[in-house]
Amino acid sequence: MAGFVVRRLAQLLPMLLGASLLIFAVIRLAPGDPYSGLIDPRMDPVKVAELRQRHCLDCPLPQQYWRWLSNALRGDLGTSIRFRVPVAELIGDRLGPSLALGVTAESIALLAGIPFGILAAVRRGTWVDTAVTAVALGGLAIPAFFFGLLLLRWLSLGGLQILPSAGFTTPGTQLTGLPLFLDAARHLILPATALGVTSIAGLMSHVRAALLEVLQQDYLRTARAKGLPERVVLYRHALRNALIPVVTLLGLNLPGILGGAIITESIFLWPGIGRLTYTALLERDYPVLMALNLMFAGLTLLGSLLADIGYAAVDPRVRFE
Amino acid sequence: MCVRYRTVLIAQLILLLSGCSLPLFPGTPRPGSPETAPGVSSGGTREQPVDGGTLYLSMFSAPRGVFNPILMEDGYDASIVGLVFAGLLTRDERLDLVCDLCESFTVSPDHREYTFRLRRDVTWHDGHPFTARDVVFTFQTILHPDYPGVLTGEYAALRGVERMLAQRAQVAAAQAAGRISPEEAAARRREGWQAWLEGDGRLAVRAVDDHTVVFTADAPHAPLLQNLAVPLLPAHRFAGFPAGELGEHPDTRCPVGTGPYRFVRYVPDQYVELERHEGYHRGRPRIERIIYRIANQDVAIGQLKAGELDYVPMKPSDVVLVEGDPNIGLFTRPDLGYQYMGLNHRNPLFADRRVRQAILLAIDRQAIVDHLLKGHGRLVESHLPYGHPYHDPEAVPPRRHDPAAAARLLAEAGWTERDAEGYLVRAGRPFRFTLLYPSGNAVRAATAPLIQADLKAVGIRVDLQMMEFATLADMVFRGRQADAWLMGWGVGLDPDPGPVFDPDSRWGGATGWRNERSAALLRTGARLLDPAERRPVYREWARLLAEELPVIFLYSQDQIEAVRLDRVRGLRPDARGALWNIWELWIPEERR
Repeated sequence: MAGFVVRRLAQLLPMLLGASLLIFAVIRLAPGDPYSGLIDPRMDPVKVAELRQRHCLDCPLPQQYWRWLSNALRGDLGTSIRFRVPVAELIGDRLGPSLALGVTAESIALLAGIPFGILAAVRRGTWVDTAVTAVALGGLAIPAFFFGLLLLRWLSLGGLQILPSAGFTTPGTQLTGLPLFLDAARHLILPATALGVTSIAGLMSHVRAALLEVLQQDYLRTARAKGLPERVVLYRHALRNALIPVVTLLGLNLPGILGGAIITESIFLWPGIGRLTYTALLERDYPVLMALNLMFAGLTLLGSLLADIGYAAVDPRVRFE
Repeated sequence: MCVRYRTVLIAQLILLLSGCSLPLFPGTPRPGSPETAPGVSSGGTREQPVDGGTLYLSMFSAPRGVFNPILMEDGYDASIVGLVFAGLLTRDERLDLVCDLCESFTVSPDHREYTFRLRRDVTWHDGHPFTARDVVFTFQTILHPDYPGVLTGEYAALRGVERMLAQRAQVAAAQAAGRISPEEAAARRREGWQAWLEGDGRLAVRAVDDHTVVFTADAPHAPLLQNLAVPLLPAHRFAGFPAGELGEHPDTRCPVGTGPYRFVRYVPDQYVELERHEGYHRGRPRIERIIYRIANQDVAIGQLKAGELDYVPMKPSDVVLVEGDPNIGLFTRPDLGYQYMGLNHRNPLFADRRVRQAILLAIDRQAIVDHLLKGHGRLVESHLPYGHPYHDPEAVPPRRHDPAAAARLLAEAGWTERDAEGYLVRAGRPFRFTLLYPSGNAVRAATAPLIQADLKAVGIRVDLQMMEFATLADMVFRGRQADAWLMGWGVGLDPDPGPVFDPDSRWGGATGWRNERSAALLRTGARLLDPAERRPVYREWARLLAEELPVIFLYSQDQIEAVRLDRVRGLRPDARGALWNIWELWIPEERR
């Protein structure tokens, strides 16, 4: 097992290197550069040329890539062209809020999606199944931003005005420790609910479909024939196998946890990675884009590794050798 | 200028540089109900102003955090800079330039010397007194060869500056041609700078004593006065710091100014917190704190109605959502910016002036104003929109939608044949071009298909292509390969358009329009300082532009501001905006 993980981690490095090259190429293929949006008529073209030169934007692409790579290997991800602060600091500031939102939303999705999926599969064809499936389809049909606006209407700006409408903390307060945590938690409820509830449906239907398939397998009939109680048949034998595709899904979802909430983040003004990515993209903020995309690439690779490890936990046939 | 929503704000930025905190024009208070009207117009005479409280303002995009008046590039940074900094001059309710950090200013009879007597009661937010040193420092920094901002050219009229800038351009050309190394180029620029400092520079910006500053110009240049209103930087904080690294100075992120509010902190993507400047020279502000929140435009109105925000800039289509709410006041005033369709005059299709006129007449611009702006705007016929102090309604009467006249003009220009689909053809080539438009400004994006349909009606085939701003700007300003594009532009309060119609600048170069008479008129207009003499010049120029159509002028969208009247008292909205007198505003105790 340990050997497997080490081997996979060693493979990560060349893959990341390849990913960085690919990302670099794709970003540079997009028309424009960080200064093409700088259209103030007072801007002296000589100054713009100087700025391009300073950031080596006119250098040959291989040279630019090498420049970026050698700096990155020394831990220097560069300075954001838009915000004029180090990229690491910029991303670091948004990592915490993003992680809080992503993990909470994912937990909501898991805690509701898996039990409802099981329920619908076990009670297949009954009114319970119909009701759960109908609600799930509704959830799939409602986009997160719309559900977010409804939540705002019901719980913050109209109806019950009990939760803050936007932001990460109450503006103007300088809290630390527990009060800060509680304040942030209050702000987290609405965006996490909007994001989590709308992803319950997808997860639930996966669990339901996988479980239904497993429930028809021969070995379950054998298990029942052995006289095992239904509870054991279901949770020990059926569910573990049914969860295999779900684990893959969760693993691949890892980068989404961090960067997949652009619209929810912008409705609730959540200071996360998603909005940063969007702004950086519009502004062609190359250093920020490189760092973010590389982070997403790394998370995707890590996610698939975690999924592989997760298989061992749920699938008795998987052994790492 | 600009194209994205943000670009609307560059208009504000330019105004800010001219010393105003918000863009301007006769405000029409429209309170939700008659009962609240006295509170708005008279500033609540029955109640006594009280101290304290927090004001919640909103903006729709996060500032970059470059809170430096001579470096900032976007309007969101400018909103903060407008509260934290002050300049020598500001604008009064008629938008004339008046003293802010000065007690008085005089212009010499030959219009070349500007003498400012500075106020003696002004302190920086850190307690340091404001003196002539700060003024000299700010302008010398802008003119320094390493200064990384865009303002240098605005001061070319100051003594010897034009010559110094010409020398810099020569050095840059020599460097670009590979004749000299970058090091040598830098050395020569520094030499030119030293020579200026020790020669003309001593007269260009001169501190006569601690509280008197004299600026000297080579020749009379009207826009210079407005440019002298740029918010000032504290010399004592930046002393000894290399001009080239201004952006890296901690005060660029945590500014120290002389404005009514002191910068406290910027929580990225969340809010900017400001605290009143106890020693503000126009009076101690009553409201203790300002939280400038970054808000989502679709949610902000809900936040305003729920009382979470006190101030929200509005879209025309959202006005109906707050109309009739007695607690919310709506203030509308003309914007100094406008939207236009740029044309590439290098494309033979647009070379004929009659074709450009036909395009203008074929587009139902009034329908755009009526339906997309819900009436909150007007047609634009020339470069100075109707809110501008130099706008002359007599110069160019509004031109109505007239497809028949458009067809006639096109026929005169030789477009008489039509193909099977009804599109115009000449010598076998169809009248067809691509219109690029940026995403971001929803109203502008919605005009593209209307323009397409209107032009189809006269036989012109338009292919639409939407793209995000950076791509479009690259095609229009760098590649110069676009046929036509939609953009907006903010106009400064001085009628001189700067380099916008100069074919050698990036803006003028995008269209490639060249007109000697326009250049001559602008040269004349910039030399005159007396408004009575300037008006006829700009009237003639407006007519020339309306006739020649370097771009197809479309519409100007009003600025609409919504304010919580139950919380914010002391409002005296006018041409400068709803909150221009922010230091006089107050919040009643029971509404905290």
